[in-house]
Amino acid sequence: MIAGVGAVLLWTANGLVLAYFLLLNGVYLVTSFVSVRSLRRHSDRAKCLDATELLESGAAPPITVIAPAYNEEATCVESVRSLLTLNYHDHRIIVVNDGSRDGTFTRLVEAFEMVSSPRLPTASLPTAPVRRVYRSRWHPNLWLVDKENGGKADALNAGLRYCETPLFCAIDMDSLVERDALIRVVWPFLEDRHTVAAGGVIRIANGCKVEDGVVRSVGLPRSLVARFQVLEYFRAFLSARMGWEALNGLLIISGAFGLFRRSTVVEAGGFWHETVGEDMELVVRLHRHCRERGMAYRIRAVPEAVAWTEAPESLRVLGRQRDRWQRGLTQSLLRHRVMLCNPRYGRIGMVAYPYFYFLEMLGPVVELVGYVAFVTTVLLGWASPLYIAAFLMVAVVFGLILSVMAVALGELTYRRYPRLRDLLHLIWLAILENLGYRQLNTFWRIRGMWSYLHGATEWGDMARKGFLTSGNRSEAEPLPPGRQR
Amino acid sequence: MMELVDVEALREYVASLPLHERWFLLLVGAIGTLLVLSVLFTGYTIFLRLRNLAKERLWGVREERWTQVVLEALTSEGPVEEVVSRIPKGDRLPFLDFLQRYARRVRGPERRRLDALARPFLSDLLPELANRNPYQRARAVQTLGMLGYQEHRSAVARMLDDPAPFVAMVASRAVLAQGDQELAPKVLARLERFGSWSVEYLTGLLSRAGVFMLPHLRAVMVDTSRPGWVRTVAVRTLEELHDAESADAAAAALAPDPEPDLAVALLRLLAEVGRGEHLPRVLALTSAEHEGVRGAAFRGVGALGGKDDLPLLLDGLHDPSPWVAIRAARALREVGGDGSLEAIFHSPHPRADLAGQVLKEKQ
Repeated sequence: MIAGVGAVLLWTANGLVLAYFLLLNGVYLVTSFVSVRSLRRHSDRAKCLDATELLESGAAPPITVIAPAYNEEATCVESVRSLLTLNYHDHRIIVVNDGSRDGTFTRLVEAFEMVSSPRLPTASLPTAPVRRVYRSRWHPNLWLVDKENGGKADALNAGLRYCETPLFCAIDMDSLVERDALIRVVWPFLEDRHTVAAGGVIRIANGCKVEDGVVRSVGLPRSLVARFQVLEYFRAFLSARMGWEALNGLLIISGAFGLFRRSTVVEAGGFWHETVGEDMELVVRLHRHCRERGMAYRIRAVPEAVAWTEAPESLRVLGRQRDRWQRGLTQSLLRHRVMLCNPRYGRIGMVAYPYFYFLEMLGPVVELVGYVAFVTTVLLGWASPLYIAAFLMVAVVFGLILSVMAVALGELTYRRYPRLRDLLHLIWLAILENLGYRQLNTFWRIRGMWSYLHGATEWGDMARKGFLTSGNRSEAEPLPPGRQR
Repeated sequence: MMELVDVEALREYVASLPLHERWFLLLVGAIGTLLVLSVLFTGYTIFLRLRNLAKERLWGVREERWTQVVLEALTSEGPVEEVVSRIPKGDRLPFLDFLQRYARRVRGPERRRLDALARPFLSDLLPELANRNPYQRARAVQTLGMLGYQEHRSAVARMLDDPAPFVAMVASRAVLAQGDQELAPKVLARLERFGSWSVEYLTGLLSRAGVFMLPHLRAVMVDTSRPGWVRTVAVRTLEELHDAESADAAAAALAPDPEPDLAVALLRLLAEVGRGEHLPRVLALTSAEHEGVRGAAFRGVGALGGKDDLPLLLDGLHDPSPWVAIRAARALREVGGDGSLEAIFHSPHPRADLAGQVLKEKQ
């Protein structure tokens, strides 16, 4: 009797898992195909735009770049120098020192001769106490807000409180924003006045050669862990986000580089302090805010606007990052679950939200059940060739095709890995990642959900090695002529 | 194929299998298909890469050759025909793309020589104006507008009515950039087509056309039959062009309480070009309900008012909206209220920080 119940449960689990994989991969396949069209359209449009003309005409609104900094002593000065060289006719920079315990504050004050400068907040968002506001003596567009520690969302809100421009760009202090990225990411706001947010593409800087805060040449990372992430970022930004954007269902803009309409974000309450996924939560809330008020709005992704970030190279750090991402995803989706399958929220409520809720948030649990059920079935000798073939198909072969498609999409963007060898390596990784890496990711994501259920709120230490400069490596190859930026 | 595979026999074989084995066969077939697709995608990716590499190489060679050609044409005095003859027929359209890069950088006689270099090839672009892909049409309009506007003006003009707003926008951009006195007002007349574009962008475009647009812009400013946002764009452009003659009309347009965005634009215009007699209307709006209007009104007071308005401006510092308070503080500085700001800065006044901020801005 017990064995019979067990068998029914096992086969039910197997059936559910197969259905889950089919559905998940089916959605990926759809978004990948939609992305091909979307990327081509973006590329065609970009050829008709004249960034120089736009800069000269001053027709683009001023932008404030908000960069929260916590214990960034090693890289903060270089990062700010890089931000100062962004190619935009009117951009201001607000660095928010979020109660760093190292020398971040002192280094910034000394390097840019920051002097105390009173400034009235323009928004009444609650934040941890601000100690003082400073302005650079030599760069009048550079401000430093020194505050007590309150977390990244809190620091972003503090920057937002002092933002006087109609648009603000939220970035990570350790990401490198390409010089023309602002002029590219602002474009959706110009051609559609209802745009409230636009996100750029994040690329992995490990293995690239960086000089003066600019990625001079693109190369694959040496570490296998970072290489897998290259593939993941391709899938996330080129397949998924471009696809969801084209379907008007974008729910995530990376916290490393996103441009927002200040007034709408302030109206919606700014960044939410109690999450480690403040970027996704804000975008979900913007959807909710605009739809509940009947506002016309657009949230866009811009493949030509690129920022580079350093990916974790150790499994330990990567595990912590994925744990945090899953917690952020879970917090955001549970907070706004009223939108789930709710026709009031249009295709967000009926398509995008259910996808993220059931397939992305609960997906790792289903996957884990699937792996356990598969192994159990095989060990008990109940697995028919039919079942093994089916599992192999949905869990591995489908994943392979999606990864290869993502690599192909990478070929449609403009900062590609220049060597054919790199491309072939990426294709090889598409096969390899199914044998361990994906399963490890599932484990980390489950752990993230577990941490969420146990109320964990910490970010976890993200050790950084720093960007590759001409002095410390020579793996990367120079960009071909005409592609140097 | 029929000889190689006996379909009938295959069908019979499949029908004779138990159900689970038929499912198995189906799955194997699906896996096989997906694997073949993976291989095809891999092949396609490699093909894309090789094509991109070949393109980059070709473009590199062309760039090198054409840079020589263009520099030669720009620096020599002689006719450009000989230089033109060196461009093979198949390279003509990419050559035009290449020329556009230079066209953005050079002016005067060099620019005329560049246009002469492009002229023989521009007619090759005309069929592109009928391309089904709107972006191809837009690109063709952009090139014609930049390198051969005078010769192909009528073609560009036709594209102002292109069914795709994006193409119409590129054509409008070309017309306005050229300062075409006949066609630019037509762009203004068709502005409703660009309802989704931002006011700042449209203002930037229109202000490039030149001062000949001023009468047309003034007419739009007071034309109540046009949508408020169109009038707002016209007013913002007048502000951009510092049109003093529009001040009286702007003050009059403020009288019937226009929608907030238009009111803000009119107040900004008055702050830029208004005179003392416009002050009463501006002062009245310092108590408007909309914070943007109040802020713009305080800005206007700063530009048009004087010391008599100090009490009003000091009151403005207490406005619940920080935006209005900032405008009031800056206006206070404009009308010579530095002393008041200093006093506030050194007091426990709730706006002491703001006073300090505005005083520092002056430094």
